[in-house]
Amino acid sequence: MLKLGVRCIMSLFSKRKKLIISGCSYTDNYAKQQKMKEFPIWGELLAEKLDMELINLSECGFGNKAIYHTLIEEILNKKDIGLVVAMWSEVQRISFFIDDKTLYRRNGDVYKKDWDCFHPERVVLDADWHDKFFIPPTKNTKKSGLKYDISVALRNKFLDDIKSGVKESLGYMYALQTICESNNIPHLQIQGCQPLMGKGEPLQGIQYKELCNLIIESPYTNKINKNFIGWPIDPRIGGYSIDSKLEDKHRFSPEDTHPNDMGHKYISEVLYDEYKKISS
Amino acid sequence: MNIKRLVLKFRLFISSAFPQKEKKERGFIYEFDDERFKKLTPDEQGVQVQKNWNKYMKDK
Repeated sequence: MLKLGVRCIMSLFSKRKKLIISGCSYTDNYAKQQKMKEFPIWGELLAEKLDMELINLSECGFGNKAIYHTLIEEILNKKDIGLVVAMWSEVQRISFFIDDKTLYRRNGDVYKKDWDCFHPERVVLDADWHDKFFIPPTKNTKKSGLKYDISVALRNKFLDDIKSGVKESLGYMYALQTICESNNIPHLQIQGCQPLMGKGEPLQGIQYKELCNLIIESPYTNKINKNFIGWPIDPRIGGYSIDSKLEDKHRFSPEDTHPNDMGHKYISEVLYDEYKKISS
Repeated sequence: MNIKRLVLKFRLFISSAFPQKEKKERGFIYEFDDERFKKLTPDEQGVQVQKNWNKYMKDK
């Protein structure tokens, strides 16, 4: 609590501009959440390079709706913003605003968990995978609860398809760009993890082709500006996500492909280089 | 159709001629009722559990 108080007082008198970022596990302190050895994450490295005060709104598992809203609410509430960075997540994750008053401790801070996000297909498949640990499988505790019920309902009615996820996400990307521009706020956007859940071929190829066609046909495609690094986000149409730029040495392991310390350093360098381009 | 859309459509068409990078799992993945799985160290069992989960998510 003392640490939080000191930080609050310091930020009141700080003359440094603010670096406001949001994203999923590629932006949050994933290592800390997984109880692995910690290291400086890209937000911290970038804030140090730019001599800005970091406000990191990201959370592991965040969907694009949560990323958009956390950023916008912070942008409209803060002055002296030096840079805003959105690192977008999987397009099919869904986000719910929860009016949860519970306070959590994280990174030494007290904060309120406002968003509950999940990927419906992953929730259902994860529950199915756990069947093997329950005898009989009907006793699988993973197959109960609001998250599972919503996921099953969405999947049964085909409401978690790629099309709706892409439409919604592109809308958030363009809206963030427009709000930052109208408020003269320097900003960068980038796709963090792969936009779709990993699948084997040929399904993966079919799904990504659909994603690309949706981007091409979208009214936003011509409107997204150079501040979006790697636009239009997929290599098939000349774009990229930061994940597609990560090499094996930038990841924890072949099983857990999240960026490691080298990965975060690399991401901070990419963003720093792009910031120099837009600020020159 | 504007030029940008045309360029993107052309890129997508060309890309279909080239296979995209896919990280394929190498090596054997244990099922948990396999006797050999039970003989693995806890760390190695953890890796195998994650591999098994990843494969399930990809294949379904």
